[in-house]
Amino acid sequence: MRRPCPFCEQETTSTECEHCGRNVTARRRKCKKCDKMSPHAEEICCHCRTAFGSELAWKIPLIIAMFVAAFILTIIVNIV
Amino acid sequence: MARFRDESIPVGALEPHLHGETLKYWAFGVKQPPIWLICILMLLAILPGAIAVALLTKEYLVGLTDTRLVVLHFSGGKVKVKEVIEYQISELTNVTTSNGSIFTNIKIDDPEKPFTAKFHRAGAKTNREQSQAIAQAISVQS
Repeated sequence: MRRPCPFCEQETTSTECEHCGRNVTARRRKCKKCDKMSPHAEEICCHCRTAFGSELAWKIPLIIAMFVAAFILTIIVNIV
Repeated sequence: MARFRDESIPVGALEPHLHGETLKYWAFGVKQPPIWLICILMLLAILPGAIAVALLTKEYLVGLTDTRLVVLHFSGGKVKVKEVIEYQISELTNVTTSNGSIFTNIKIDDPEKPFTAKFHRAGAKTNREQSQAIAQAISVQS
């Protein structure tokens, strides 16, 4: 089947792209900086070389901060 | 659940305060904080939990073609795609699907591209029919 490679955007006919050598069916993610697809297995964007970070890096501290704030507010409400 | 399983304890607590009288009845009661304070405290406890669940929930759009199953991991109302997973239907193995009264569950135990999601019947107008059709098609293939 003829399809564009999601990574180099060149037309390819096999699972392995003839141009960039990547598996065109591989799990892939979008780079927030250049908005292009990179294989999920690669830690940096194959187009702009930006490092992919985990979303949990900001979500987990935020969740902990919310629970701590709620705990402190509960104590304040009980004291007042 | 009874506050006092041993009834001699509350009776014993009242006894030193009786001055030769006979205790006829006794009962256990509470006075809770005002309802508005209970609501505030409940919200304080529930809100962070609800926000945490929303933050940790991933949203997916799944599309089935004649040859592929395409999964989009997205965010926002305008479907901002974050990640794409695709499976050749002919190569799908270890697919588990189930239908409940509210959710259709799809689980793909692929070592390189694992995927699990549940599809609520209220996710879209025809979400239940569409998700059941996808689940049936991929479970027949695998």
